[in-house]
Amino acid sequence: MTPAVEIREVSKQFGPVRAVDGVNLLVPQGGVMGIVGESGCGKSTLARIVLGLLQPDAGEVLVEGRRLASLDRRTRARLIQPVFQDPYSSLNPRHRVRDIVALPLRAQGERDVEAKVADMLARVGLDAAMGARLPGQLSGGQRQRVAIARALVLEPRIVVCDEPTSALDVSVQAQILNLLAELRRELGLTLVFISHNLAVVEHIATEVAVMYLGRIVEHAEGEALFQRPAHPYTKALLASVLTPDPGLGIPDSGLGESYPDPANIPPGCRFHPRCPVAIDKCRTTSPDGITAQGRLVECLLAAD
Amino acid sequence: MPDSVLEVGGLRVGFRAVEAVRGVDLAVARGETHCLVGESGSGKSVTALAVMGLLPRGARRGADRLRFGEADLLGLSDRAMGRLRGDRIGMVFQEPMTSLNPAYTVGSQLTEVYRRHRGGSQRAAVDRAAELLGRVGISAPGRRLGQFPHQLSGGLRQRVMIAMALMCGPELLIADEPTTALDVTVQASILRLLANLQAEMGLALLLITHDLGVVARIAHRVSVMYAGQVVETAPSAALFAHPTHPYTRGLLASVPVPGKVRRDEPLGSIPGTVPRIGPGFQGCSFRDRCPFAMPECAIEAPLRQRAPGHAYLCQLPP
Repeated sequence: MTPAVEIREVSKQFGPVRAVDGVNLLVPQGGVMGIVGESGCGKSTLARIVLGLLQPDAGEVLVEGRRLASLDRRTRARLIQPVFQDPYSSLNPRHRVRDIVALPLRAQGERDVEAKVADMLARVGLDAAMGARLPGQLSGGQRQRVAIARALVLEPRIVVCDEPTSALDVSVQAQILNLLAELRRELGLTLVFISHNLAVVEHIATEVAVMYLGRIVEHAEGEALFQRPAHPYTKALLASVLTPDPGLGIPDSGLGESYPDPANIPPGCRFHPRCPVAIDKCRTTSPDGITAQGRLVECLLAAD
Repeated sequence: MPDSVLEVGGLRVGFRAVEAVRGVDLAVARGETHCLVGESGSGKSVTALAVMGLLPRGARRGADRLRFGEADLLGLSDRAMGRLRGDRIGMVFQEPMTSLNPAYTVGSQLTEVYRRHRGGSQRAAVDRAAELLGRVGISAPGRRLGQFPHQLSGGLRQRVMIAMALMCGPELLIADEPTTALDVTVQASILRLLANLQAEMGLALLLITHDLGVVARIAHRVSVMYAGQVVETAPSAALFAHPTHPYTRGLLASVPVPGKVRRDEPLGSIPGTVPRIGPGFQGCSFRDRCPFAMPECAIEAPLRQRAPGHAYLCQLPP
């Protein structure tokens, strides 16, 4: 089966910053690809490239087997849609909810949009009366439901969610995650789900890609990655997550105090200055493309 | 609690037609970390601002008791309160980029705090600043003193904020979401630092957060806030082992826990949203979202005791 999204050797540079640096990734049909990493790792840049909002400097993105760069905006909008982090800034404050949700349809030249909009609002759990409201009259969770309704109204194949629950309270976050999971099952959607919250990704993702300084350093099936992380960076990230278990104290990630600088990527393995198990070879040899245990693990030690 | 550094009783804060804080009781003892946990709009940050005397103009504050050490904060003038803040009460806020002045070096901001409260020579203040930067785990403190906030990473800026809050050796540290804007790896190192400093210096730490993972790992005592009230308070281990208020239980069920995930099962979630509480509001503020609500809930939510030190506001027996 053609993958829903295929990312081939994609790179993007902003001045001295190599935000995305030779990324390859296949997102299978109907899957949920979680992309995790610290701020500045390039995950949001990658999302914008997959959405066609940014042109990569090198490489290409295929959506349902078609080159993204060759598609016009309308076709692209029917295939792939975004949901962004901040439901406060991503909705036009002067437009009523029903017009916000109708806009993608109208942009496609559709006239009879009322029935579709009403159906979509109901699907995301907003009652019809909400259609007449302005974004300022809604709570954060309701706004994110509007953003999801707008993303789904064209019945796209793929939805790219960039930190969709980061601005929400935990009880509301749970509502939105449950809604996304339910819509994905009902509509057969493929999701690309970007988050810095590993617990959220573990809950929703079928596959996970871990990004570090512009590269995917580990990619595996969700359960395998969380149960048996192979890359030292993945291990450190998982070790840093604070689960609500009293008495365990605060973990030491073992990463030390040297923070990564995307404008100054170290030679050899880009993770070696922070890596607790680095050896001499890591300073000079790049671990690009290494696979082990049937997964991508860009670590020289994993190969042995 | 006789040995408490901070004691708050019946704190109330109102803004126009909204009752933001409705009768909050809190105490923080020397060497204790008390976490105030709740979602946005629960009144947790307003509670902290009210204690520090930093409420915006137009806010109404009232309390039965507001005691810090031997000082009655209710009777204190703005100037006297200003002398306490930054000196015997340290503060750390969520966003270090907006709390630090971008136009001044780290060193000048740290020394300014110290000399305003403690006087002394610039030389002594610089030494103290370098010492504190070292204590908060910043390498090459001498060089960092000459840098501007924008030259530091988010984690380093938050360390500088903590150093600044500790410059004068406070007895109480109030930290409002100090790690929320940071990556998980940096968050863990900042929290370790806070916990270590707190134990070493015997600080009373009032930590405000929405993150139950943070609470579980650092708190001695937890107070859960909802719609302006503390709806449950308990020692940390008891709260996580026996959450009793339906809101606390709902909150814990809605957090995805790594390693205990069942992907095909929905997360527990709390339907609806936090109500706005106006004057004259009666009964339990959670009743519209509560799966156990009964008619009596519209009249009152009584304070019940589950165990010594573990209390909650609810009609349901323990």
